[in-house]
Amino acid sequence: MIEKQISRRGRKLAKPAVYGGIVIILTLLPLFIKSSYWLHVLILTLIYIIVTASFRLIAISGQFSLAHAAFMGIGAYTSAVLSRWFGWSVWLTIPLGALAAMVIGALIGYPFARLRAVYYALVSLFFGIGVLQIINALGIWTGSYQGLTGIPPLFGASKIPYYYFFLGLTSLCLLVMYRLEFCRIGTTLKAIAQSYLVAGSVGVNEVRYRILVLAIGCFFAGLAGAGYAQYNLVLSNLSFNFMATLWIVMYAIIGGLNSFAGPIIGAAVLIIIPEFARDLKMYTPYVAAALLLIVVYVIPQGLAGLPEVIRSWYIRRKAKKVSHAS
Amino acid sequence: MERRRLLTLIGGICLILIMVALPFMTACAEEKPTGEAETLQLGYLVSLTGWFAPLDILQFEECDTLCQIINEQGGVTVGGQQYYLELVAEDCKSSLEGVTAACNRLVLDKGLKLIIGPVAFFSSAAAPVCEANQALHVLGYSCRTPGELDTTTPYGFLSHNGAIGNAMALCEYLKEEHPEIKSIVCTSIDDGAIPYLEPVINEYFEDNGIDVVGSWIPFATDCVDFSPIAARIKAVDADAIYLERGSVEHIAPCFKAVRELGDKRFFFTSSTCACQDIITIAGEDLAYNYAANQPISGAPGNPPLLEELITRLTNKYGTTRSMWFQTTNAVYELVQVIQAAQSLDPTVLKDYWEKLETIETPFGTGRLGGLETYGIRHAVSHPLPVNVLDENGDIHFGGWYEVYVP
Amino acid sequence: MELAVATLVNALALSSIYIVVALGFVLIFSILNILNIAHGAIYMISGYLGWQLVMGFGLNQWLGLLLTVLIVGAFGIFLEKFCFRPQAGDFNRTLIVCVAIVMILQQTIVITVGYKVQSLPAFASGLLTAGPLSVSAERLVTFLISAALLAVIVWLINRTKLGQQIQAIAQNREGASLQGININRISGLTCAMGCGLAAVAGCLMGAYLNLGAFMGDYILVKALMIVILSGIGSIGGIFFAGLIIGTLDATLPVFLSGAISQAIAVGIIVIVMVFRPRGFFGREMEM
Repeated sequence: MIEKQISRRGRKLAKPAVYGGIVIILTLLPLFIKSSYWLHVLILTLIYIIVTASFRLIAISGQFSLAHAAFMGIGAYTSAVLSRWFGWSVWLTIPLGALAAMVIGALIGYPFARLRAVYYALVSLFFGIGVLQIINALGIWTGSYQGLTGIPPLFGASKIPYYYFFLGLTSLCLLVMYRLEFCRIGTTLKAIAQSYLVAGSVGVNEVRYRILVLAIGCFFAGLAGAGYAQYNLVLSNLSFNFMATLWIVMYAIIGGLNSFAGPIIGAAVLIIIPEFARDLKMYTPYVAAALLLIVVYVIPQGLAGLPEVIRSWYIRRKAKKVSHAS
Repeated sequence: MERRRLLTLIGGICLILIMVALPFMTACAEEKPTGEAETLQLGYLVSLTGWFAPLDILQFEECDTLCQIINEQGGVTVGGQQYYLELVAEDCKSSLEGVTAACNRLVLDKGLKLIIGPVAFFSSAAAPVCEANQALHVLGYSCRTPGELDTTTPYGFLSHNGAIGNAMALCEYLKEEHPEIKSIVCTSIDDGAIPYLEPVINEYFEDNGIDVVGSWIPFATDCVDFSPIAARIKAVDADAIYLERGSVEHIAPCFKAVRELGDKRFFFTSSTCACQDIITIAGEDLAYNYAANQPISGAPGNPPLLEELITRLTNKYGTTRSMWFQTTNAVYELVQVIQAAQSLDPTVLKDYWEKLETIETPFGTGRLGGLETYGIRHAVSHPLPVNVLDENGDIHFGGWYEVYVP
Repeated sequence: MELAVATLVNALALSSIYIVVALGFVLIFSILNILNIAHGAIYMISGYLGWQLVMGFGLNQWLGLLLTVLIVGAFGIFLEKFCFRPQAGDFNRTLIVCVAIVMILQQTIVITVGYKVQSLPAFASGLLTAGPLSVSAERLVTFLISAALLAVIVWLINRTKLGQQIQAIAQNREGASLQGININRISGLTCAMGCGLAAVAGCLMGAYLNLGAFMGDYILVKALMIVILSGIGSIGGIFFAGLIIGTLDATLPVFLSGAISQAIAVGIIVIVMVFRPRGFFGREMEM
């Protein structure tokens, strides 16, 4: 009995302690990491965490939006074009980029809401491709494959202000998405995903909720994209094509679609680990492919499910020992 | 059941460890013996993965061959200290942000201040990082888009003619060998550089008496089937067809599509695609009336260094193949400047290079220019060879042509 | 006039290759219920395999084609047993496995033979001229081979026992197994057939155009477009959809720039999907 009480209290403190520890470590990280390159990797990870988490938010409602990288691109290009060709302030264009992505997401959400599952995934895939081609066709304004250069930066040359900016942005976005998922809206979305018929019979307006979540998800994707544009200073539509969406989907799946921490873990693992293998040069894709295959075969529910796998394996070991003993 | 999973996990980890260990072992085995000579590391931005990799890896090997030749001849001597050249390659992943990441790694992480730039249209991504950290970056190619080589890139140098210089050389070739061609129809890859190149190149052709009919026909970068493009080309009434820029994977299929439509006009390109590749892809029946800038072995007027490079590469691959030598130019010219200025400091090298009038390249003597075209006098124009397939499909050398980009 | 004939032949040849690839893709989708993203990579690697057999080992072209199909078919059986079946039909996990396979195959080609821009020797060379019209013999042969192959597949599916088993599984998996059909075996065979079709298309395209390490990505998008337009569950629909996409690809770039014609083709697909999600000929899928 006493053991159970202690362990329960321990478990209650464990989660906030872990989160608090992570926050403290991340805030103090630039003091320990002198290498600008690793700061760059971390900043990219933070940006893609926002994108992946917003993808998962949309996926909660059962919509597998395979155009997500294209929305990131819409946000990025809007912000870049406005700040570069029209000279608007960067702090204005980033929210505008996010808004543009949200508006377009809401606009196409309505016609696409009639489709479900595989069909939704396919139509969003082609929408993403189409959007990129249109961006491509805009010629000098967007730079096409050559890239849009000369984008005004957020801060100066040092990466540290960028790091703190994106750390704050990511924390804020994750907080908002967390609250969304665990409030009424989130529960409604999960209900729609499970069975739209039953949800509809209880009075849930399926279309409205789906458009809502799509718009919110695209807002965050556009925000991340705009931030990325003002950080990277060079944009090319190759960063937002179908392959990019596939990678975002993979970050989410490898991390685990069933838990909130999934996309965070997935993005962090799949971006940072291949960077260690960078010295392998031409053989880096093999490391990434091996990582993917191992997770899929061994931990099918994603890396966020790793504690579960270990715990269940441990319990089974214990049970076997007990049965052997008896 | 969970034992199998555990075994798979262990097996997978072992597999990854083996895969990671092998390249390290081979890398360790290839270490050059360091005696009194030190290593001069040059950062090299190359796409080792992704769609641009097949081309980029080839150029990297060309550049590596040049470094081997230089090292065999004693390397570079600065201030009495002998240095052997070493290219530190960093993967650009065939994308602009890959270039930014790789450049960040080389300049900020590894502290290399001499960067051999990316080729083709990736150059504009390397500029911000290099300029901010005062690293000298030498480009292999330029499409005259903003940010590649202009007033915002004081530390950037163009070692190769780039799109404009190559076009000028082919124009000279036409004037000399084919004076009957008075009008051309242009096509080029649609990657965003056409608006910057079209006015300059059109003007040059027209100043030399060759009319450019209509606007340039763009084809997509991932274009696989060139028959619609060939149909559009056929509909234009001009004396010759000019494919301004493209990779071998575009030039050869476009040529084949054009010939298959029965179009027998002269087809020339100022990008690189060896006649051998044209014959392989288009077939011997259709391969005729073609010219490109491409050096061939044993041609009259080949500088000895170029001859040596071509011979080594041909022996390595066993067949003739397309050779660009763009980044090879970059390394060779950088070495010249280093030895002349006797310094490894990027700012000193930049100031020295700016003041030069001529500089040696593997293609011959190059001249500094570019103030009018790019806004900064950092572009080297050098002679270009032209390789020709005549009407019977025989390969022959078209001659060397001087070029100066103002 | 000659332009029209040339475009027509081109449209036919292009459509036939797209249809062959899409058919393989749809076979795998209807039996295994997964989107085989690795289809493009299999198409690509069979082109290179064919090249190696013909140019490297000096075999006859047709023999090389046959061998390539057999080898890639065997690879399809391996794929189904070890890569698709363990995922228990989960869309997400199969997606990741396919992407991993694509990455491995593509990078292997880039590192090993990618630098050689090659094409297979033409299956038929030269031009056929009839008056002012000239048509590449190669394109005609490509079209004829693809058409013959499609006819064989359609006969196989409609008239043979294997074909009926495939149809049964596609319609109702549990019902088919209740009838005593060995699902695993048929799945393996279908996957082999799908990969074999991709292999034929890869070799034909390798001779018709040229080989490239990333040509699979391009063809995968085309296959997806055709599958969407035609809808799931109908073979005839694939023919029509393939002809439409092939014609669009052959005619639009003649008038417009590449990016815009792609955007138009994609826009058409999106509009069709929004108004008729099950495609022109498909049946409504149970969600």
